[in-house]
Amino acid sequence: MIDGGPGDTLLNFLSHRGIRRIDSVLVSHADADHFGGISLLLSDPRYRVGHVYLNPDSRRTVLWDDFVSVMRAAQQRGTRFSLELSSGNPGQLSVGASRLEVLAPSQQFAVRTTSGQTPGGQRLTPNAMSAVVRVWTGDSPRLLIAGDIDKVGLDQLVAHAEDARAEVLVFPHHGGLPRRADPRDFAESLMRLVGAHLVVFSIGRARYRTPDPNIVSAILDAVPDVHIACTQLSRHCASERPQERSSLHAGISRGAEARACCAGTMEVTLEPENGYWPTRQAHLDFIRLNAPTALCRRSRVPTTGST
Amino acid sequence: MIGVGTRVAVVDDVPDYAETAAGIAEEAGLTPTIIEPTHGSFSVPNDLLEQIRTTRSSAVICDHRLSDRGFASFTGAEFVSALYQERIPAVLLSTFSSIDDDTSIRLHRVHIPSLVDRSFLDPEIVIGGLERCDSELSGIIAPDRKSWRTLVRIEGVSQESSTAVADAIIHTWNPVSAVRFPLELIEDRAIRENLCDRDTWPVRLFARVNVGCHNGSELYFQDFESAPEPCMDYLAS
Repeated sequence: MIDGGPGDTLLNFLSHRGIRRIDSVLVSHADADHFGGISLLLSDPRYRVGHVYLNPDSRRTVLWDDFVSVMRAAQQRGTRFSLELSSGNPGQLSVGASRLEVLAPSQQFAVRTTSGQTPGGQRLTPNAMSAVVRVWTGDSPRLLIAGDIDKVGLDQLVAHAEDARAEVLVFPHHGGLPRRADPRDFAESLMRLVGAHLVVFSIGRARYRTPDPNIVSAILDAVPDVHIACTQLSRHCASERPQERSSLHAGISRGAEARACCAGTMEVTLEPENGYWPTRQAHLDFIRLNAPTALCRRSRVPTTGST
Repeated sequence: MIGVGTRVAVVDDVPDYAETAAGIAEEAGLTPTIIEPTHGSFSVPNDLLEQIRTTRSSAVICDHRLSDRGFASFTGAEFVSALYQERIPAVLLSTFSSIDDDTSIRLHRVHIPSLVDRSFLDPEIVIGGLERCDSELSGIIAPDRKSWRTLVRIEGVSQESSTAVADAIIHTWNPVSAVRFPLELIEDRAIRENLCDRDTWPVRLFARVNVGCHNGSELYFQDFESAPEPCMDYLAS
């Protein structure tokens, strides 16, 4: 498990799937919208969690202290913890036929947490320190989960990772603005590095007006035939919610009851040939009906057969 | 099952309000009976329940403040909670929700699936509220009513009227919005006394909370336990 958003969506999902045991949990960074679900998971003695890897940015905030209290309770039930998630720890994890590779923060970068600054003198924020994890199936780089990485983190990723290519990218920071960086430049750099054909924005309709339109536009310019999927229906794309609950995803999707979903929960299979759900066509059909100002259909370089 | 013709008892100490609620119930297709004390006031919930049983009602619409005019010596929340435990669906009406939600209603919220601000009362809301309660009593728990074990960070205790209350943050629900609840919900006396005696905060506890709900007024708390101190060094060892 890599991060767990706020509220009880994660536990509802696990309950729906009948999952009670998690071997490894990676927490990309110490923001509540990334560890809230993990906190519920670790609070519930019905779930067995093997090992939790924490980002070295762990701060002394009251929220983080809440999470530490939860982790201590889980530790008493046998869960193990590592406090230095980086490209060197655990570096790589085997999960069935798949492999997880931690690309960022690099070991060199991780040790900088004590100084609070990059070698160039920039302040190290939790987002700069965010973990970036790639999931491999055999020789295929299937998925890149980029946490909340910002321009500082992206620069160090480019400097230290040999490559970061993946078929699917979970875009960092929910498509929000990267700190002190041009959003277009940031998105173009990331897409050049990853080259994904599916980009997922994990967003909430109620807050922050994500994804940023400049970021979406830059992605479309960089990879014209890319499929962009937001979990919820951005206010940029539709001022009104759909009249009825979407049936794109039959399982657990945060916001489904409130008719706030666009693609909803994106389920990416680990076998590339089995693709992902909802399919591109099903998602596009939903957008045509419900998202009159869809960002993902705007500013696109026309290509034959694509929408 | 709630449906056309379902007999519903209306409990309200203000006759005009009782008439209005009964009228709305009728509009909803229900068959209302307004309950009036036959011998002074109701001193215990069971007396009121017995009178309701004589009307053969299978659901109840109940006001929260029943003691202001001497109708009963208990609150509507306490009574609706008793009805829940008797498996009788009910809707609790509140006129002073901003005042009562955190204290006298929160105390029984675990057994109150349907709380309605009186100003929003209409036939659809009455039916929806009774159906929601009926559904929960039959074992179908709505996502916003499902409780999970979570950390509750107590930031302080104080007195509100004559009730000892705690102000808390539940980061798995909303990390930036505090919630107030009566200290009485913490069953462990030692934990309660510790909270009342201390002057350093915060204190962290575990409790079961319905963190999937949207509004703070919907939160309920149960099964409080102590939580470990947040010591990172210990975690690393």
